[in-house]
Amino acid sequence: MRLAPRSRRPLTLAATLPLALLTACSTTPDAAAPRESASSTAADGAAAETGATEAAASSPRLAISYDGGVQVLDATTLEVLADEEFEGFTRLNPAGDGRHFLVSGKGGFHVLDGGSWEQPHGDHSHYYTAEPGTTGTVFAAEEPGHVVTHAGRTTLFDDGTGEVVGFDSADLEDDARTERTYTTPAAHHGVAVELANGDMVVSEGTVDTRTGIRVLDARNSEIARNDSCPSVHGETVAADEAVVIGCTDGVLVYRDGVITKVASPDAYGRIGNQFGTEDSPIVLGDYKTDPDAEVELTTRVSLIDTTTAQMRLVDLPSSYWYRSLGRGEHGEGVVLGTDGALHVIDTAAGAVNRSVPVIAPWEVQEDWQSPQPQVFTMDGTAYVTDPAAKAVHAVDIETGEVFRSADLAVVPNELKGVTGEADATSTGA
Amino acid sequence: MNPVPRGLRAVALLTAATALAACAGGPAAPADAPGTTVLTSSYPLEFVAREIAGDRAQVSNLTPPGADSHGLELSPQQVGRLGEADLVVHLSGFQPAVDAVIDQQAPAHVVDAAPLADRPGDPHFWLDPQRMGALGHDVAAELARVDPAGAAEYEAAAERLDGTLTALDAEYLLALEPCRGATLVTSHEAFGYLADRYGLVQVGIAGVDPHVEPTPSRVRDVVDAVRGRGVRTVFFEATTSPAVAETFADDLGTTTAVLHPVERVGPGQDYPGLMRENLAALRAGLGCA
Repeated sequence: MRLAPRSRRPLTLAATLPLALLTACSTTPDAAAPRESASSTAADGAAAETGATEAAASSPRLAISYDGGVQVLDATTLEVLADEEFEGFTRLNPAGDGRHFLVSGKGGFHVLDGGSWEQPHGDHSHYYTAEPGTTGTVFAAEEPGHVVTHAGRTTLFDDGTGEVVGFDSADLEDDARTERTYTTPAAHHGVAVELANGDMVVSEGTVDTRTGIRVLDARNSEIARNDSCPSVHGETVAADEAVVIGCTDGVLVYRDGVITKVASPDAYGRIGNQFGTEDSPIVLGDYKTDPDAEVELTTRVSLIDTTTAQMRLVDLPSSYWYRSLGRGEHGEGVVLGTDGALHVIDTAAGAVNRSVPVIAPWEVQEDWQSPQPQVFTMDGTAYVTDPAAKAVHAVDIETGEVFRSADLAVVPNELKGVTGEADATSTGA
Repeated sequence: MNPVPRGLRAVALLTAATALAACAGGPAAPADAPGTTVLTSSYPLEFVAREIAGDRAQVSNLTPPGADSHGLELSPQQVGRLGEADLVVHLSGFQPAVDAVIDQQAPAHVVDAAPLADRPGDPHFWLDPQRMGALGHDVAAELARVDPAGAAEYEAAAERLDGTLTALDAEYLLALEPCRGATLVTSHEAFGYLADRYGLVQVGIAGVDPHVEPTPSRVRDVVDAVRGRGVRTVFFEATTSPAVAETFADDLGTTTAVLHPVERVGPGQDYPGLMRENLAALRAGLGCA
């Protein structure tokens, strides 16, 4: 994977014309108005050169894709800050540095600046904001697939070639970054995650059959493998760097150098989307039991304890789909049900604690690319998109309060966020 | 997270190149030019330098009025001024762009305030008036080396400034004595020197912008930080919006008030004035009256 030539906007232009740029690409007259006027940035002589404005606190951002582009929102106020055109169906991922997004689209992974970052300075930090927008950096890929960020590393997987590229998340915008590359024996819809010690877990398979995982050391030499993970899909990392990979009959857990298979209670019990946090040893996963269903209205989720290699299932009051899951800051599991309620799960107790009505009831559609409600969790808040009502909501996971809502000018599809903070893990590793 | 914004790096390179060109190019600034020139890198240093220089020396500040001194980037002209000034007063470790230039071309006379900023990672020493008095003496001593004929004047000015600041310090001591040990909750931990000097306990609450109504999760972090400490007021660097003030009143039962970091000043503001405004805010907010 090579870095495509970049065509960065001149910085002076970015500093003086953001309002005009935003207006130019807005789909409706009121779609995008920056909260702080451009003149307030320009008035500060010191900041005008970079277009950056110092802020009192970190400013988390959301990115929402729609048919034709991506909007960037202030995650606290839910105001639209920028609107960038993208052709065709795009997927969004946080880039791993707390600031940028990677937009999987035509030609590869495109870097989108959320326009909010932290500059640590001794025992305190300074926070800056700037106009969000694409930076021109593109990681070329035939079929840009999964983006995994962990321990300060970002790992990209090209489904079209099986090429894996890993780099320090902080070097995203640095042409001179050191890239670790690896190519799987056969191209497939795959995933790779790099751990703090340089070990890399990578999926194994072909276009037709995905079979398991291999673990490579920092020099890409195989140190472990497991071939008993049919249709391997999805990854997450739980506490103590336990990696959980989904299979159609359970999951594989890679922990402390050992791969352990955790079987589902059903012969076909598919887990393909997992949600872990660095503070919890328990991973939340989806769970499906009908191999033939086009749309399976599953009402159960899985909880995998990575310390005991045990799985249990939790019944929910309603069905859901795999993009309506997330985690709270205290390890809670959250699932937006088709009943329109956000179900908050105590992952230690394995029970639903609370169900909060957020949006109107909805139906899971057959085409996964068509807009459906999505959930993204960040800093104790669950963000929920509602394509039918063209709206986005912010729910406080601990209390269930829907504390902010906003109408959108577009039909939201994908939803992701960045914290605007230098991730502790990105400097530690 | 990239530790240095791209723009800053670019400018740092540019300034370094310009600095080299300046060294190789013109003759050194004439030492006997009429009027000694002093260049400071941020407002608190400028305040002290002006008090000491009086009418004998010309003081100018690298950071434009009201601008962010920490993120200062230097134009080629500013780099030139750093090379030409008879005396440079700066705070190393606080302004990377200035440090870079001074590393490249050490000015003939420099006062570095860094020894006065001995709290790790905290540059805001000027919020303790005593330390500003000490800086006055340092500046006077170095100015006397640049301009020996003015030595007595500079020393007298340093004594005057010291007296003024000692009086300010006494006002603080007297006013804050009744609330020694109180918790000073600030949105930006800039008041460590002040808290140390006057027996307050600073608790920082990161993550709240005075103009943006915080998420419930961030409010909870604040509640956790201040619970059980008898806090009546949360101090911000700027006036909070009504929505933010209401959130603090409802969720914490506290008011909000402004505590100015005095890192930069606006029109009509100066160090003694802002320090007294801060004292009034502290007395009221901490309930020391």
